[in-house]
Amino acid sequence: MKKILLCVSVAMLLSITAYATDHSEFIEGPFADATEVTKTCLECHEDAAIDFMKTPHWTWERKQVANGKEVTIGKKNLLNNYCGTVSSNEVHCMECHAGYGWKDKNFDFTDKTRVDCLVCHDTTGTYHKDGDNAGWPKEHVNLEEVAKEVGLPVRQNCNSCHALGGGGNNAKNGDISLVLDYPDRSIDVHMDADGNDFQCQECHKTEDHYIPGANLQTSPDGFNAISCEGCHDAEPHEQSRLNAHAKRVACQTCHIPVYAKEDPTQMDWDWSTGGKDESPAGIDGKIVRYKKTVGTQTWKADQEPSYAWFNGKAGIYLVGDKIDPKVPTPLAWPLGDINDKTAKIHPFKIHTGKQIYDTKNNYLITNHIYGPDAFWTTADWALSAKIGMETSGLPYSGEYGFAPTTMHWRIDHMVAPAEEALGCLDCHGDNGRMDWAALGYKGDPIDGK
Amino acid sequence: MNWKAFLMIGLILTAFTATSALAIEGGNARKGKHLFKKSCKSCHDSGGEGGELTPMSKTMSQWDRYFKKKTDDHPGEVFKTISDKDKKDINQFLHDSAADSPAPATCG
Ligand code: HEC
Repeated sequence: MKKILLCVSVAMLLSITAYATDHSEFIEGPFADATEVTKTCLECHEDAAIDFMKTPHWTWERKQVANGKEVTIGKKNLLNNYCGTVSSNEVHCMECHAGYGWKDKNFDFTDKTRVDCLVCHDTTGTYHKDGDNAGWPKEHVNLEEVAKEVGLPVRQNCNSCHALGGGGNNAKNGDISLVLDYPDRSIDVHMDADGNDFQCQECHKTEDHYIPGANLQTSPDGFNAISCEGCHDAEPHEQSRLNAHAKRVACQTCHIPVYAKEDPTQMDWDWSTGGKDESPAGIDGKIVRYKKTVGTQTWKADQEPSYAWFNGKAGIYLVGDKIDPKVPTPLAWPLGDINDKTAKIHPFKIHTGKQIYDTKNNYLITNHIYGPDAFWTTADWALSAKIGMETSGLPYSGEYGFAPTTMHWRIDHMVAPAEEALGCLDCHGDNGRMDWAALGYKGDPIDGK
Repeated sequence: MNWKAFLMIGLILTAFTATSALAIEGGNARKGKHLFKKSCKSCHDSGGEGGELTPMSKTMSQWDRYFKKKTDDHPGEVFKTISDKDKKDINQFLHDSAADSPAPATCG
């Protein structure tokens, strides 16, 4: 009897799991618009929207301490080295908001039907959001078909935004590109599609729709950052010398010798050349590209990281902070130094740029780039600066120039197989890649310095 | 109805059925790119036994026609071993990056 009961419960369990993954029976279209799909999802997943709406994927901001102040910051109101600011450009930027219809300040963050379930749960690869319509899906998307096929997110879902943000494949992170949709072992030993095949959630362990992880600029407090020690122990090597390194050197430093594998990443964005009909000298269209709407961009593959001490926290530029236009202004940078016992040497991508700033008030301008009256349409810096500053509420002198800026990006993905990790002489000795002086050493520490 | 109007309607109908019958949709192009590399590139790289093949080797409608009509004639077992879904994804990738597509791609 017991055996039978066990069999029955196993069979029931199996049928429940099979049932749970196949949604086609529960979904009936056609859907007038995407909010109708969300309503259908919420009929069974009652708490999903309530949970999701608490997360930064929905709010695009979070209360935290940055630069010693309590602030509420996020993608919503920070200024980055790429397209600049979201404010006044929502209709375009919200292509990557997991919601529908955030086109200006009046978006209703309490409307559950505006949650975009499909962008993360589409398994067909045919769901695409529209870059010209405040996060609504493209018109040709077959909502019913996509809704019937929903499932757990895979790398391709996350990549739709995380690999494509900033204006193209791998523009921003450097270590997250479309190559991670289906990478091979040499690209990333964990995500290797024919091997471990880890999906993002394997490390970014998700609970109640909250996905942990800490981007340097939007989480300068380092809250809920992922660490390798979630799976590996703190002394993972057979060699004690290597384990000793792990106390002051992040795993990523040796295990990610290069980033931007296969797909180039953007290394520099010079807005100051934008708006001209004729492209400046030195444009080859591949590494150095020019477009009137964006200025000059430099793209490179297979980059050796830059290294800096990092204690898990960051400093950031807050809108309105004063700058010195003669020196590069960092917009996000790692905190820590050689004397900070909680800091380790960590790899970074350093993106450089030139951005529009107010030459009288000496701060960066929150520029209006998207829309009929914006820079991408008008090529008129003066007008777009004026409109952008009105939206963000900063006083504007009416006079602008261009100032250099930098932005650090953590390098955490594209982990190489162990046999491709850095060896001793990659960092130490005559041809080592470390700038020891910049890190605060008197010389190569292998010489006891 | 005169013969001109008749011809016109006929032409419109043919154009409509031709385009709607040909254009592939519903495949996962990004997965297709991966599958193309994995299942096809071994023979279709430069110097490979099948000759170099990239999305740009054909136009969108040529790719769709090949996948619809000609894969049974392809030498070897490859098209018999991949699933219909994989085939559709590869077709979608090649179509979306074809020579006359908005985003032609040489890489595979
Ligand atoms: C085992 C080797 C092999 C594999 C794997 C392979 N092919 Fe081929 N393919 C060939 C050979 C051989 C030919 C014939 C070439 C010729 O006739 O010159 C061919 C011909 C073709 C042609 C016609 C060539 C043309 O120019 O019209 C197409 C299209 C094609 N293959 C597509 C594919 C696709 C798509 C895949 C992956 C699903 C694939 N092949 C996988 C060997 C292969």
